[in-house]
Amino acid sequence: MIMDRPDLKRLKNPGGFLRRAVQVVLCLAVSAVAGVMTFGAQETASQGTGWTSPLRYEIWVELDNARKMLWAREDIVWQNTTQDTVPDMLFHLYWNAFKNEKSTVLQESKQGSNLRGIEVKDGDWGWIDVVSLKLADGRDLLPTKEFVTRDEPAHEGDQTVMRIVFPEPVKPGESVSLKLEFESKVPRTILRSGYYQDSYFIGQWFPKPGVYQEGVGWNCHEYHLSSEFFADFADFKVHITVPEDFVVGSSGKLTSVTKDEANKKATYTYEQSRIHDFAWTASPNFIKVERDFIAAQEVTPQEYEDTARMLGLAVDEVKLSDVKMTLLIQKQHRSQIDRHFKALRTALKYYGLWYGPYPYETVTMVDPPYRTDSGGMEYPTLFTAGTAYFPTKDVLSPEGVIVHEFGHGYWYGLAANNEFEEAWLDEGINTYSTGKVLAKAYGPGAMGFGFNGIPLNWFIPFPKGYDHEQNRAAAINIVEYDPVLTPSWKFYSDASYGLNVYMRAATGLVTLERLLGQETMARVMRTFHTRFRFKHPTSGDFIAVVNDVTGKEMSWFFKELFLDTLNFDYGIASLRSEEKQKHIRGVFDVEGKKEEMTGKKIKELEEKESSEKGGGGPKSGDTGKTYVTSLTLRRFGEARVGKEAPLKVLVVFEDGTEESRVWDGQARWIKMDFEKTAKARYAVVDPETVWLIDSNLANNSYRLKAVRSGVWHLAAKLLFSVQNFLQAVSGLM
Amino acid sequence: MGIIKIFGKGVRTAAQNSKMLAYLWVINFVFASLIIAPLFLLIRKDFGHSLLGGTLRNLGFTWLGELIYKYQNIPQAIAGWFLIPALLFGFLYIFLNGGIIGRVAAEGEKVTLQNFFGDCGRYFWRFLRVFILTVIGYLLVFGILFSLIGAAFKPWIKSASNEVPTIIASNLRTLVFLLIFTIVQMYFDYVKVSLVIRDSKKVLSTALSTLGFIGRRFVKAWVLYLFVGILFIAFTILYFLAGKVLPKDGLAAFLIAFVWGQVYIWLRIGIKLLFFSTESHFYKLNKA
Repeated sequence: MIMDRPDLKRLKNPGGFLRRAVQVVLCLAVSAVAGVMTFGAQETASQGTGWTSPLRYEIWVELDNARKMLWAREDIVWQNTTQDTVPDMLFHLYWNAFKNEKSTVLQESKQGSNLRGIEVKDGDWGWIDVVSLKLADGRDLLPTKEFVTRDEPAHEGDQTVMRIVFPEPVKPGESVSLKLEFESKVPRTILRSGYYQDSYFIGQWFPKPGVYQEGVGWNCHEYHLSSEFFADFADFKVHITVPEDFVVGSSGKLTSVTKDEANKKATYTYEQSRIHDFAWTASPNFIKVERDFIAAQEVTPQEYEDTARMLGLAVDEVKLSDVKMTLLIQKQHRSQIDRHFKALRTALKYYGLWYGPYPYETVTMVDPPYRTDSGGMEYPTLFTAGTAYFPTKDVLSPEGVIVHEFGHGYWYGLAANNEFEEAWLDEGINTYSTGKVLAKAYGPGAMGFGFNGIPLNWFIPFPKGYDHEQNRAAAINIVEYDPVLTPSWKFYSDASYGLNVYMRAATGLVTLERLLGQETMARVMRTFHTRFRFKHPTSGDFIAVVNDVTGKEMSWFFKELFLDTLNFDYGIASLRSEEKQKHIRGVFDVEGKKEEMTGKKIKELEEKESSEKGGGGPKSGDTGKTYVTSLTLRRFGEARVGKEAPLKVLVVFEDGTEESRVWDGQARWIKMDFEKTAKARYAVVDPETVWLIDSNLANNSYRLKAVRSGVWHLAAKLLFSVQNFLQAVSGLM
Repeated sequence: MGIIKIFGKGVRTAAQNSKMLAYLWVINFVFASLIIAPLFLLIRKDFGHSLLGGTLRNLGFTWLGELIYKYQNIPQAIAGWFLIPALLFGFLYIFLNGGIIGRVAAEGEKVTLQNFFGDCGRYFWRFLRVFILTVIGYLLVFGILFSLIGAAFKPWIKSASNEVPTIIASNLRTLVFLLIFTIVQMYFDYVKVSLVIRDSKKVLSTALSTLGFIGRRFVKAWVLYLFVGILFIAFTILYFLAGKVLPKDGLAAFLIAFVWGQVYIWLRIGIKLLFFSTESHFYKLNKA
């Protein structure tokens, strides 16, 4: 339903633009004042470097390939943009998750229902040590260092969160400049980071402050098995020194390369503003390919117009920018270069059109080094994909992972939710978005199966399907474990985390789209993204946007499907069509006397009526009979539709006519009667399958006459499979 | 006599014993039907009246996900209902192998129910003991040999800098394993054939002498065995290729596909007969 869009109108409104311009000026003024009051050092960052964020990093890191170490120093400038006076700072030291078996990650991997038990061999550990931490004026903060574990259940001994205390607290608007030195042992790839032979993927590698939240304190969780990350937007300048024959890929834009011929090293400097993480990779085995995404060539004027119309925006607001694309690909996968770039261009186009233009100049796509376990992961302006040696045409791999991981540049990268606490906001939304992009650009894809690296899809035509079909199959099977909105480390298991935050959340969003209509949902997503770009949105923010854009109170939808473990299942309990009796048996009062209508009398009456209609009986299609169709619907599950979103019910009759009704779905059941001259052929509740989240679509429809051809087909296939299995067993005897 | 001629004799013998195919097919069909009957009834109950029932013709995520959800609490029952009849079927074949080999070895005699099941009974206890030896043989192959083969490839896989060596090594390892597996299968086939043709009740000594027999004629015996195996692979490829051109819609298409599937099962059973008949001829021609 197309609703009035006051929020979007404000964006186009010059008055609104002026208000935003004033806000920017005020921010700059506050920053200038704060710069004068910067704690412990002169504010130098604004001189010539173009810093735009209140948090800034400059890191110098050298990779020691022989010893598998990183030697680094890091300058951090952090500005207190809150009204709180902040006495301390908490840092993430993620690589200490790989230090020993006391870490939260390794403890959690062995607990409960987790399948992903991580085994680390002797010598493969990794860690990070802050060896020096001083203020810019030289005062040493390292003596105040302590490791803290604040999440429940507690895992004492985890060292992935470090706390230091300032000699004087940082007042609102003030900045603090820190100088750190740290050294890290690169793990033999444990979770997303590490090395294999001479190839490295370096993620979550530097001491990173948590996010300070006004009135709450530092949001800085331990590294959990089933969680990702959360950090503030910042400006980065990183100098990476590696052996000269290594090819490097990194977040950000390459601004300089310095060669040290004597020591056979090279230093690559990358810069990027307004991102909240920084990752890099290095290997002598990469082929580096650069191409350009030229918006004018990728998007037609008609597509711009159609998008603008769908979103209720001016055409200029949906225009995309050019982007430099870099691919680092393994040599043995060079035949797939074009396939990688096609997928990336597709992602840049559709994410850009639907959610907002990609705001950075560069994006780097990495075919991760072999055995670094770093594939399928996202970092701002860089992501890893991963492919097989033998790709197949029908299987959307690596396309699916490329679109998905690029998409995280939007959901997580730009709308930077707290992945520890509300993972569905990026994983679920991005899974939903990925499905839409793949459906639009590629159509259905087949599931891929292989044996010893040989695709079985070459020999066996596996079924094709859209992402939303596969997601639903997973979503309905996980409903009774955890709500979608559960902190990542508190899920029942790794599987519950994955299936809930990815698949169930995405299925919920497809359901929401079907409920609201494609256009309204598109506007919801666009509004949510543009409103929370470069911010930290929460689930409450998303729900508020849905309410805002639709003009309806839709919180019930999320309460039923995201905040609880309620199974959604409406279905047909029974359907009957019986001939309405013209004449009723029994005793009746006729003109003051009691007269009995017997079965025999009724039969005689009917024969008489039949012959009076004319020789030969009733005309074709006109039986002269009336049928009462009784339809009983039930709410089998606990989740309910909102009263504003009643369920449609459709009954189709043998004479081709149809009748539609609605049911508000609140009670446990309802009975509907229809009186027609034809029997019912079938009935359907939710005929358009709006409620994709329904766990039992089979009971949404009921045919009076069973048509079992599909069942027999399946039975025949099962029989054949079992026969072959039995023959194989007999061969072993 | 050359392998081709022996193969030809084997084909003729298998054809002459085609009545056995019918017995064996019926047993296979009945067992398979019993296994899938409960699942069929469940699916019919849930989908028989539903508009979604039509989608069951092809594998689809919608109904597959629902089946998993509906029946998630009964996997043990399903597994039990599936595995127990499968194991029983396997044991039944220990019994039936006696009839198969007995009849192919009795050249010229017509197959009747009486003489077929007579042979099944006569050789059952011997073949049961052979089965126990077969289990030991499989343990050796799967356990020790597989580990040895794996160990041979391990250094190559461990030091790989990309997936190509791993793909090559793992496929080579599978191929080597399969070839060794065929040798073990062939050996135990000849033990059974020898027991029948010599009408010996001494399983261990027959097993030992068969080792010698195979050892002296290993290449010829194995080539003959692989020849029949390749024929089976060829039939399988033909089955899948033909399946692509069969009609897809309508009752006639369903019946054609069903019949074509059963033709393939007949061919599989026929291949089993062919294995034993070629082995019987080879043994008779070459026994000391």
